[in-house]
Amino acid sequence: MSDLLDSISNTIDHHSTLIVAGSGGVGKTTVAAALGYLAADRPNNRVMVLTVDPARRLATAFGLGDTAGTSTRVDAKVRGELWVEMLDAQQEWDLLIRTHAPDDQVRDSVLGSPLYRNVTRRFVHSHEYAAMERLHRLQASGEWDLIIVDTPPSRNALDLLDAPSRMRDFFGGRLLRWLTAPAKSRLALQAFRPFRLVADRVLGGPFVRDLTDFFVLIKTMEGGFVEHANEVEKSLTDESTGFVVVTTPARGPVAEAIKLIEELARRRCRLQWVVVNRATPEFGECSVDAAVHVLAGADESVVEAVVAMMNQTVQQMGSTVHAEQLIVDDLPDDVARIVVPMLDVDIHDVDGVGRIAAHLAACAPGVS
Amino acid sequence: MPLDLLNRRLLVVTGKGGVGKSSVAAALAICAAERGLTTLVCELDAKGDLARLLGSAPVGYSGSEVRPGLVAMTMDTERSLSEYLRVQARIPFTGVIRPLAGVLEFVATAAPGVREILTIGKLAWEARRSKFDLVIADASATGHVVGQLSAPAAIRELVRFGMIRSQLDWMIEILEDPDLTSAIVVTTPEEMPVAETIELSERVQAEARINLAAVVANRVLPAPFTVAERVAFDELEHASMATMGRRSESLLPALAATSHALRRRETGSRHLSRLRSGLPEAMPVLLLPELFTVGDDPDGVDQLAAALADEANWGSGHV
Repeated sequence: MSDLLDSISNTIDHHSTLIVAGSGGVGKTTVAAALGYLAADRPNNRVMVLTVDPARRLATAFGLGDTAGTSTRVDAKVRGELWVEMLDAQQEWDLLIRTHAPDDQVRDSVLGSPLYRNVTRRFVHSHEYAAMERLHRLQASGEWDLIIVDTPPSRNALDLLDAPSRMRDFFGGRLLRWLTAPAKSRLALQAFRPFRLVADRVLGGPFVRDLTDFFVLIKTMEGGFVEHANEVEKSLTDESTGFVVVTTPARGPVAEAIKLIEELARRRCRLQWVVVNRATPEFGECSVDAAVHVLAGADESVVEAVVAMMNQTVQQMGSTVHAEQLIVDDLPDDVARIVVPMLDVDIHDVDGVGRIAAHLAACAPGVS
Repeated sequence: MPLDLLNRRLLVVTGKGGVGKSSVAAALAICAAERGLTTLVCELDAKGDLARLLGSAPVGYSGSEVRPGLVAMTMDTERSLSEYLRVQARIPFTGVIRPLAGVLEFVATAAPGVREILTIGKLAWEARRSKFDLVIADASATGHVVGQLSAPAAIRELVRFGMIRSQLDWMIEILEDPDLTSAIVVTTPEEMPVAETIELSERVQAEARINLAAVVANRVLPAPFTVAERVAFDELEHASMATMGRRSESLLPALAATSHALRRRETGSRHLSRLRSGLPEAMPVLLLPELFTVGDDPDGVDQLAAALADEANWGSGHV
C-alpha cells in the first residue's frame, strides 16, 4: 500500500489538473468531489471541481442549485478552499464566439443564428468542447492550485479528449473549404458537385444555403479556434495533468475502464489511479450458528426469519465479493488501484462526500 | 390485467448510466419474442453489451437473429446514412460514395443533430415498414436521450423544404403517437437514479413529446425486516457485543454484514416510495429483483425477463 500513499499525496501536490473519467453511473461526480475535498483540506489550497451535468442532489448539497456557469465555494470543513462549478455549455460557446469573432457583425450574426443555437444547445459533442474550453480558461486564470474535471457523461469518455482535434479537423476538412469557397471558384464547384446534388435534394436548397452562410461566418474564426484547440490538447499531455479512471466492479464499466486505460496510454496521458467504487465490503469469516443460542426464548418464527436473512446475506455477500474480484482482476496490474467500498447510505451531501474522501485518505494517511 | 406495452411498434428504453438499461432492454426483447412477436432490438451506442447480454457474438448494423424471432443490431450512423440515401432518397450509392464519407464527417462534426436524426430516423423507419412487430431501442443515457428523441422536431424547425421535410413529418408522427411509440425509463432504488428518473419522466413527455409507458426499477433488494424481526435482530446485536469472545467469533462479522445489508434494504425501500410518489399515480412501476450476482450476463437477463413478464402479467411465453 505504501506506493499508493505516496501516490495520493504526490498527485494532489504535483498536479494542477486531474481529469476523472469512466462510464456512466459509476460515481465519477462523487469521486471527483471526494478528491476535491481531500485536496482542499491542504492548508491554503484552492481547489475547483468542474462538473459537467452533475447529479442534481449532489449539486444541491454543494449549494450549486441551478446556477450553472458560476463558481460557488462549498461550505466544507476543510483547511483550504473547495469550489465547484457546473458547466454552462451555452455560455462557454458564446464566450468563444465573442473572443474569436473578427468584428461585431460576424459576432451578432453567429450568436443570432438558429443553427448556432441548435448546435450548441441541443447536441452532445458541443458540451465536450465547451468543457475543454472552460478548463482552459480556469487553467489560464492562475487562481487554482488544483482543478478537478468531472467529465461529461458520454458513451465514450474519450470524446472529451478528442474534442480539440475534432475541432481542428473540422476547420481543416475539405468540405468546409469547399462549402465556404468563393462562388466563382471553378475547382471548388466541380469537386463539390456531388455533395451539393445530394444535399440540395435531401435537405432542400434554402437549408443548404443557410448552412453555407453559417459556416462562412464560422470560417472567419478559424485561426483563433484552431490555436485554442491546440493549446487545450497540449495541456492534456502536460505532466501537470493527471487522469483518474473510475469504475464499479461490474463487467460493463470494467471493460470500459480497460479501454480507457489503453487509450490514455496511447495518447501519452498520465493515468494516476483506477478507483474501484462501490465494491461490496468484506466482513471476514462469518457464521450464524451462534445466533440461535443468543436468541433462545424469542418467538420462533421471528428467530427463523432473522437467521434466514443472516444466512442469506452472508452467502450473497460472499458470492458477490467473489464475482466482483474476478471482474476486477481484468484491470491491468501496473495501474495503482483504490478500492472504495459500497457504503450503506447514499452520498448526497458534503458529509457523504467527506466519508468517501476519508476512504480515499485511509489509503494515504499523509493526506489528512 | 396484463400491462399494455408489447402492442407498440417502437419502445425506447432509457435510464441513467449504470442502472442496467441494456439488461432490461434485452429482457424486454426476450419477453416480446417469447410471445410470438418478431422483434428487433437495437443498441444505440456501439458498446457491444447488448449482444453479449443476449449470449451472442457482436452484431452489426445489418443485425443477426440471436434467438428465434429476435434480431439484434447495433446502430451505425454512417450505414444509416447510406441506407437512407439508397432506399429513401433513391440516390445510387456508387456515385456518391466518396463525397458521402466526407459528408458524414462534416455533418456529424458540425451540422445540428445529424447523428441523432440518422439514429432516430432508422428506428422510426423500422417501426414504419413493419418488417418487425416491435422495435426496441437500447437508447442513450438520460442526459442525451431527450436531445436525441427531439432531434426530428428540432431539425424540422430549421429545414423548410427538401425531401427530408416530409420524412421528418412521418418520423414525428410515429414518435409522437402514444399507440405506436413509448419510452420506458429504467432506474435503481438509489438517490440519484430516482431523482433523474422523476425529472426525465417529465422532460420526455414535455420536451420530446414521447409517451412514457412505464418505469422499471431494477435491482430492487428484498424487503427489510418486519418490526418484530428488527427488534430481535437489535437484541441479538446487543447481546453478542456484550458476550463477545464467549460466543462464536464469526457471529460478529455476520451481524455486521447483515446490518449493512439491512440498511441498504431500508434505504432502497425509501427510494422506491420516493419514486412512486414522484411519478404520476397512473404510471406503472415494474420492480425487478437484485440478482446478487454480477448479473450482467445472459443467465441474469433470462431471470430478468421472467421477472419482468411476471410483473407485467404477461403470462408465460412461447405462444
